[in-house]
Amino acid sequence: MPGLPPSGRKKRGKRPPEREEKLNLQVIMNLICILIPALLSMQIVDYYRHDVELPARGGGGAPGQAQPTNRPFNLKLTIGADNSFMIVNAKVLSAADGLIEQGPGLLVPPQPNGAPNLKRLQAVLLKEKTQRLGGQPPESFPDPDQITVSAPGDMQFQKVMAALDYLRFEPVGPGKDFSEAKEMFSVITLSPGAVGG
Amino acid sequence: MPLYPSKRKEKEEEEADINITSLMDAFTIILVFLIKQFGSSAVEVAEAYRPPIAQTRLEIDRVLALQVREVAKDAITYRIGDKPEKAERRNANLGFQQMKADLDAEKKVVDATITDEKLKGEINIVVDASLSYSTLMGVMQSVASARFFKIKLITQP
Repeated sequence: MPGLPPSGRKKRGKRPPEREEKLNLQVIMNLICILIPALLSMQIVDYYRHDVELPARGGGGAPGQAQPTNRPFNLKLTIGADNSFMIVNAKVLSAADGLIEQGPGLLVPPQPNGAPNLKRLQAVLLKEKTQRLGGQPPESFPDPDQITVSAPGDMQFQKVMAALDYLRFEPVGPGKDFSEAKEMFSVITLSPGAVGG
Repeated sequence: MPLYPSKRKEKEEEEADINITSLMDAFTIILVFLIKQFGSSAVEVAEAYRPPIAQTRLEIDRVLALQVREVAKDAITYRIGDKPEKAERRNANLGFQQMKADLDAEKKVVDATITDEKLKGEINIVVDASLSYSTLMGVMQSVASARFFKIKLITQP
């Protein structure tokens, strides 16, 4: 019978199922293996903040708002060049406590090794903050959460910042950090000049 | 000699291939997580600027950043946002006038773009830890003169 020529292909029995082409993931894997250590080795720093203010001239609050009935506390703190702290206008603190010394203001001296005694400063200010209200609500004072800070002009900012931590927050328990601390003085004013009474 | 590999050999070959699909999944998730974390900082601090170390953990808002460092007594370099760094010497009477003028110009742009009323007038100041207190005061006065009254000093843990 005439027709198509017989195929030259040999019959090899049943054709095997086609294998799926595998994706070549090696290139992507290599890339990821390089990127992950690179990203991990990069220093990722979380930054935080301290809110500060400059001294305001007068004020008086919004019209129609209930005005505080008492005079402002005007609590001031001077950081000394020798790492001492001088507190001015404290209402309840006295040298008789043994925590502070009497000077032109009330003095928190540095530690024997010369380092600032920040924990004592914090304890002293906490006492002042909690006891000076005399049973009145904080709203009856114009500046219940405010403190004015000044420092020598040539003092490094890092030293001032260390003090701000201990002014802003109440003491925390051992093993805890300031993220769990209650705020003590939330309004911190940085004063350019030396503070007096 | 057989034309096709034996079933046993075929099985051995399949076993030799490691299945990396799950590994790829894990790596992709880690990569996405790392990239996201890397780009999540609300303030970009240039390498030369070193904020002071502090224990505060108050979170920062995504607002205009001013970076300042002292290069000599009463002389600073500063960067506003991602603008190029500039240098200025403090004028004894007028303070940092050039920085104030730059901040004034930036304030108009910031006010036009910020929608959240709470963030208006807010500025993150990245002050180098070695800056002197008097220079800090000069910087803060210039910032306040440019009507940025909510001053946030940036710290690192």
